[in-house]
Amino acid sequence: MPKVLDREAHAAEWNYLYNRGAFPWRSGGITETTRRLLATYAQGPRLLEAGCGLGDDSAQLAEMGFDYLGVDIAATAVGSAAATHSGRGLRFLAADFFTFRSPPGFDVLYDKGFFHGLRGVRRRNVFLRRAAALLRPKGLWITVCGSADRMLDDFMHGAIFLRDLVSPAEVYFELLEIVKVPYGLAQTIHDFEAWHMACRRR
Amino acid sequence: MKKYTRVEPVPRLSPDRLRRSREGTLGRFPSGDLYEPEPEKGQAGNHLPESAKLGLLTGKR
Repeated sequence: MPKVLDREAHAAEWNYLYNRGAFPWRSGGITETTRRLLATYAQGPRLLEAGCGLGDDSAQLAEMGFDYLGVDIAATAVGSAAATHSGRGLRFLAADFFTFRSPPGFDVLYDKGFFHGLRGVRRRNVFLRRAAALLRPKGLWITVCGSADRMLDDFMHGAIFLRDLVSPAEVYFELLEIVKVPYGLAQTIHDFEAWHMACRRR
Repeated sequence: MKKYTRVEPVPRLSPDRLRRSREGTLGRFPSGDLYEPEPEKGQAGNHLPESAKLGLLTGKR
């Protein structure tokens, strides 16, 4: 479990950021690449999104036929997501991805901008172990992480070189496909290049 | 006389950028600073009592 100074403070900080009303990290929905990766490699309907935020990707994922559960530590964001996106196959939970109690066996884990925001090698390893534990064997993990190759000068974003994504992931996952395409930010003017990686739990 | 081939300098990533990518500090994240810094290498487990550390080292519980 990652060490946090104060988990409630961490949640409060995110709630503050969401209450502030400016979400520069907000997703503009799933990208065409994500859609293709899901259609190609997903082998079941149970999908978990880590760090779902305002649920910007949830409706599209449900439309694809997934039984969607979005988890985020910011209750403010989750409340807004649940109010905005209601329908069959959509559930939201205000909880810490690292510790929330859930039956394992998800077919798909999806995160957009969660992994690339984790600080520290150990914390990333904890994420990967947790991801592998939540997925069923051969379950699919799709992550969208900002690329460090061409970072924007006027907009700071999460960024990672591929080796720092692949190297720890291969311990638990078999890599299926990696593509570098735009992240799919809601503020398209700030969109940046991002790794889209699909891998299968060993 | 021995001849040497001149190696032209080529662009390469700075060690600092590589390090920051590895440590997850290359971008800016809204609340990442709330996390405790990671323990120094070799320091993991220092929060445990001496007896527990001894147990870990010897395999005894």
